[in-house]
Amino acid sequence: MSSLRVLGELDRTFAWDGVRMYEDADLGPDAELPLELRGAAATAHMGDSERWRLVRDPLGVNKLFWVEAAGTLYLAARPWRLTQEGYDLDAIRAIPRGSVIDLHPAEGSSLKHDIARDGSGSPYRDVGVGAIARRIRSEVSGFLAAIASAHSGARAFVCLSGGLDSSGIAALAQEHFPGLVAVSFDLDRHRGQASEDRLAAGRLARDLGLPLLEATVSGQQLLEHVDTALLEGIDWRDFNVHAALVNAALGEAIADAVRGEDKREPVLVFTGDLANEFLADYEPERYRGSTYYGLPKLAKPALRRILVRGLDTSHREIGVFAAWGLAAVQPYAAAADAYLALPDAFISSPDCKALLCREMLGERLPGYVFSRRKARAQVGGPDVGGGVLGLCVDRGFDAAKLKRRFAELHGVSDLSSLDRFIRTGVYRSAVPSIMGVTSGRA
Amino acid sequence: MAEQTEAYIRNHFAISPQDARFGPAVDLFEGGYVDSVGLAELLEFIQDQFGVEIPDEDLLSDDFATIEGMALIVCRHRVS
Repeated sequence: MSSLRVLGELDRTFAWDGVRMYEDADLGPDAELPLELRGAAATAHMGDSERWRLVRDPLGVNKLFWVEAAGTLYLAARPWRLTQEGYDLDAIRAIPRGSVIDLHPAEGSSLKHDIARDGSGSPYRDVGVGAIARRIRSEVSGFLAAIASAHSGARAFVCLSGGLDSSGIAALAQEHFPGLVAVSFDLDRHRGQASEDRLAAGRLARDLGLPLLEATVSGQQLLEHVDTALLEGIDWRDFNVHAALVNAALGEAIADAVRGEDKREPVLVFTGDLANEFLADYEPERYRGSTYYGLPKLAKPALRRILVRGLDTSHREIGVFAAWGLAAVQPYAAAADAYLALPDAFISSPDCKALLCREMLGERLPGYVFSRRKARAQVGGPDVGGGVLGLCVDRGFDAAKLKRRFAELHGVSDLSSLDRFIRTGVYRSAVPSIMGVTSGRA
Repeated sequence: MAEQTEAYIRNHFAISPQDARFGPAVDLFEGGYVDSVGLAELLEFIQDQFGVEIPDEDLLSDDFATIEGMALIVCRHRVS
């Protein structure tokens, strides 16, 4: 390999070290190794003497893919950027999550360092749940404060379903972004009534004093976003595509709302994602007698490990919002270590999320938020038929069709290629090899 | 190690003893024996049984598609 080229734009970095946000200069090869990095980062920076440093955050929130051809390393935030240039999906690898890779093409050398991935050996050992909850709140709040400081004057939105996770982010983000606007998704299926999510979001927005932007779309309008969901979401699995469709509708509504405004600062979109993975708070869904969104039959602690590992794949939030020119931020990422330090016995409790959120947010949220029954954003309430899952199933956009379409969009004729691209929530990954790779730890 | 893993897969994924195709060298994914959800369960079995967490880079390697390949990967990480 003698040169490196980045195709298209990479995702915006929202990473910090617990005190301040990382800036571009902090992620280049001339800076100290960013081994405390938390949040979202997938970067490629060149330093002196054509040395490069690639960084990917420990959860794999931001994505970075590569292919090597004719002595050049091509990097892109989306595989379609590479397949569009004629490279096979089979040749594409992800940069491993949680890695800092220093490349020196002229010398033919590369060195990989690992960013710590979890709370093992963390200061949370022997600390009670209450203390961890307060730590989560302070980490998320500190992260939001750092973003507000780095992007003062930025327009800020929060995706609000009225569930615990998004409500918590809304309450905390409001403290740092005075102009925060809540945005709520709903699917208009001509039944003349709002979904339970919309009603809950509207009530909470009123109680928090947030303006509410309503993103209400028809089934047809939503399905027009399928290709965007697949290409920018980098996944074909139904649970992720359905969530990506919701985000596409939210993104379109926000983009419409800010059209013509000054864009010197990014338009920020906060979401409550990741808490479900950190607490293994998912269940399969039933629709018309079939089960969707199946999960491995594992105890909660093991399921949590699998779900957190699975954050490596799917860009259903950041990738899809980026398609609308919006910078999505998942603030719970900043508190990953604290979440992962929650004891196995605690996360095995069926009401652990409500208990944790009460400890974290207490008086910041009205009591009804803590007692509301969980509804997935893709579903929108207990009536699955009113949600995106029901719409997609009814219109024939089943798992097989989504997989075929993803393959078509990436120029793949053999569907087994896809099974070699994502396996159990992980992208095929490797360190770009330049005459051998060595691993190092600082 | 390979024997234990094979026994787990046979039992957990209800593979018929009469299935002549199944064995330590068969591609578990292309053969349709293990899907993505099932692999998550298999990974937990490997971690519990052998104390090894399979790194991401190995998860999508060709070796990890077969029982004998999995055993090699587990051995490698057990000694490293």
